[in-house]
Amino acid sequence: MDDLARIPAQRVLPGHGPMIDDWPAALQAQRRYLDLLTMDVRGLIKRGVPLAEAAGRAGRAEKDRWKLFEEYNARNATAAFAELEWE
Amino acid sequence: MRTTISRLACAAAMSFTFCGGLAVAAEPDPWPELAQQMFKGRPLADGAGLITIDMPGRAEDAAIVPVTVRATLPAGDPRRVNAFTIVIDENPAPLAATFTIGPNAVVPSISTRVRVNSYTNVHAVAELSDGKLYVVKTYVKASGGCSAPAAKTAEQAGIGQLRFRQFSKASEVSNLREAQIMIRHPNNSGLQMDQLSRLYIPAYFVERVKIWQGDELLLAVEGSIAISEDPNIRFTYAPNGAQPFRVEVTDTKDRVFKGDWPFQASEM
Repeated sequence: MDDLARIPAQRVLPGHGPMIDDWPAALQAQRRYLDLLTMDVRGLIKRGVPLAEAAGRAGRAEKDRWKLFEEYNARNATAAFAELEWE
Repeated sequence: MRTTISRLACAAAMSFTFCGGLAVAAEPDPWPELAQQMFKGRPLADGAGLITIDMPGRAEDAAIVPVTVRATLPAGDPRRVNAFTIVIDENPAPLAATFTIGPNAVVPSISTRVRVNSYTNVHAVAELSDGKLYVVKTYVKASGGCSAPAAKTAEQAGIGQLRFRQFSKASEVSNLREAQIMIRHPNNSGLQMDQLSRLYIPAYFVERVKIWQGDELLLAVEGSIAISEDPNIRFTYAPNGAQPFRVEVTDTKDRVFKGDWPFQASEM
């Protein structure tokens, strides 16, 4: 995302959703979501919460901000958990 | 072995043509034949009330599906679980893992993470100390777990790195503790495509894990291509007070990775 943000693009055509013309500010929502997810997952790992339970708990505060939250959040949390537990 | 190879070829062919899971669902139930082969025709009794298997009904990430097996024998039952076997019926290699509990160890629950290739029954078979086999099952909706691309290459990952975590008491009412062994290993399934060369990465996975506390074997694990990248085994156990924990991991290239960690009597 940092690499993408450095591209001085006037228009960005995402794979889903409307065309973006406020680059890189349009990245903020996704960054906020990923930061929160990372923070939640780190906290759950530190407290020894197992993956099966953590996947349903991390990132919930962003629930109402994403149309496909229920489809993808637990999957994102699972992938994040498997990686962050090696930190 | 013939059957395994033909199933494998079949799964690979179908994933190109029909996208895996849908086509497989129409096939007859593979379990009777699998059970016959794996357990040499030994009878399998209903394990309800003796053991459980827990998996999410819908896998969030088919390459990392948590699974937990537990011994839930009623109080006063003199038997113990000697070994658990996990079978993912519709996977190209259905035998996912066997966990053998050390002869003097108490290990009531074991969790790991597996790849699930299509909608499937998952069976847990326990051999109890009465010498008999008991089975329970669950159903998981998932697809593409075996062929999901590796998250990173073995060189990036630091292959063979081991971590051991100890947790506080598993519950207030027992003396059980909980621990987790983490193994950095690509555990390549043989069904993953290299995203650049478009060639299949050969199967290369953790074959055996042995965990001791002091001189006593706690748990011996036989893995397979169904175990997720960076194999991870979390288990509850009754501490014997001995030092240290030792872990020995052997992969399919006969590389051996070892570690030991002091048993922490109090907290994590």
